[in-house]
Amino acid sequence: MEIKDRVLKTFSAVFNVAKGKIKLTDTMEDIESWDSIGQLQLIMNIEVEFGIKLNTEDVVQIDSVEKCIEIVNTLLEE
Amino acid sequence: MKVFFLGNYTQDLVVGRFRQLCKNENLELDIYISGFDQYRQEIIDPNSQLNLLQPDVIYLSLDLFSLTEDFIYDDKVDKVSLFENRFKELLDLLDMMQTNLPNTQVFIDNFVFYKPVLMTTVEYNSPLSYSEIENNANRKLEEFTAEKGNINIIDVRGLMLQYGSSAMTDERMYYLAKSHWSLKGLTELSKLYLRYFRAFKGIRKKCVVLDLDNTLWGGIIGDDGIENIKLSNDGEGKAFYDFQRELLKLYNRGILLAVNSKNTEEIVRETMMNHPYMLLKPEHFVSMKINWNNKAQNIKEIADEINIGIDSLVFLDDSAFEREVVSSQFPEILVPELPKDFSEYPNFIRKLDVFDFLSLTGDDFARNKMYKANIQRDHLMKSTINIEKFYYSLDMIATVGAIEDFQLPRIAQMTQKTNQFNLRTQRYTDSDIKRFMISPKHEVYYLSLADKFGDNGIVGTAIIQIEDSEAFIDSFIFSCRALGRTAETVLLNFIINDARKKGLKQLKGEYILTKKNMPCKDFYAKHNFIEDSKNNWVIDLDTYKLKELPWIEVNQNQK
Repeated sequence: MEIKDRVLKTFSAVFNVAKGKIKLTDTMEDIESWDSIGQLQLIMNIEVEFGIKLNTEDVVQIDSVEKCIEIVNTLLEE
Repeated sequence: MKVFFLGNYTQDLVVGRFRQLCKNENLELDIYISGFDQYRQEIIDPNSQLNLLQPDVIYLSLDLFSLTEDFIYDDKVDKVSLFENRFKELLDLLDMMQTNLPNTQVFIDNFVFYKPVLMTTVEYNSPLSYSEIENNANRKLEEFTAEKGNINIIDVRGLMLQYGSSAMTDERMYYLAKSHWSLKGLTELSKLYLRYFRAFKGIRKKCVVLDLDNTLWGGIIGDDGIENIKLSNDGEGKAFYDFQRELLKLYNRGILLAVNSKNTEEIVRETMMNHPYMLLKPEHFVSMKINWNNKAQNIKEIADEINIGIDSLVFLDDSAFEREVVSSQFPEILVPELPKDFSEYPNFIRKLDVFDFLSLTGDDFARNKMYKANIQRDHLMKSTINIEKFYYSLDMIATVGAIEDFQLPRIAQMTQKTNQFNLRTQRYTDSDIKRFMISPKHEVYYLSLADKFGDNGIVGTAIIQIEDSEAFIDSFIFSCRALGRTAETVLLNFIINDARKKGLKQLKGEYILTKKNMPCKDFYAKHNFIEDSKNNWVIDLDTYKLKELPWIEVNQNQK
């Protein structure tokens, strides 16, 4: 599975939204249960999914689905 | 059921996990959570969600660091008195919460710094070091809860010790959202919370069914023989001894044990009776299936025999094959995989979280205390050569009388459970006892005993049947833990005096031998009864001379 798909799958599981309904441009405004607690759940799940660890700085920067994919990509390349 | 989480940090993630676990176990709970750091307001405001909701259960979790961070960094302030004030406020708050919600079960985390914030050379050796703060906080909490009902402490500190602060916490979560826990921390903490809930609701397994070879001891008893199996109080064999010790602990808490083993029963019994380090004896097992039958069939028979649901069994067997045999036929039985290495057995059973109790029951707890007091008494016995001096030194106070309604269950229980000092071993239910109490032809007496080591509660009971001018001792039962102190004679004297008051002429007694009641075989002979036919004893009430017991103060409880 592509990284993008795996990120979408994680978003879908954490926020309880159908995968098809999530757009890459979606932000915290667009996904209802994506609040500050949702953010932490997302991070933990992303970390388990990809076996990576995000810096606090990375976590703060994730404000859209796209941004999340970008950060995961960057960390996987390191 | 309504469950309310209160705390001084962001609990949403822990509660989210807890919710998930409850769902997995089909526990339908309404779970609420207070706003961030709102626990004070929730408790104080009579119209808060907490007070209006009147939840069945409250979980209160306070991060010690947040509670104290305003002063622990400052070396110039009087930390000790600041700490004292802070905890006085907190305990007052808990007190208020309990007063407002008297029917709510409260669980409160004990105190621990989630990360060892002050662990440096100088701080450990200064007044009010971090560990001192933890210790003081926990001691205050324990003192507070010891005096209260409906409140129990959750050992989060123990959990932190088990898994370690660095595994349990995640700094990012703290700085980003005032949540503390790592994924591991969330998992373990929510599991711990659930254990307390299950214990509160009494959700637990009732019976452990055990294989023998390579489970209770190392080796095959039929091949290796009693002298070659691994079971010892030293070396590798101690793992099996410790494993048995854990099982015995469960037994003492009321969990049933049973055997399901492919073996020769005679050899097993001999091993249980004669092996010096075999802690579990035939008497500990409610059922022993030792044969060459299918283990699934055996286990079904065990469940039927003791009449419990098959889903309240746990089956422990080192053989993956046997586990499969059982679990494929009865998936509702818990069949955990035993560790490959037997040195892990004791820890394995300690961690098996299906036998949780909230506290030792009043009775068990009291019994344990009494046993302890007995040990002290024995100790005294050894240091006091003169037996009468010993009796005097105990400061015994006995209360005797006709029983009252509230004592009825204990009396019925004594007739059912006491085997050793039970002259006729007649078993009675609550309603039988009630019948005797009402009947003009019966008397039901009790004796309770206190001494300087504690109050033993009711330790003796007697049921008397009256026919014309004759009284017959239908039951005379004494608890073993109270024997050897002449208190049984107090009860007999009371029976005699009461019969005399009624104008009766004769008192008769019978001893019926059972497998277990040898200890009281000589009771009537020792009290100068006359044996008029085998095991039937009698005295003339007009002429009988009572034994005097000046070392026991006797209170007669007149109705």
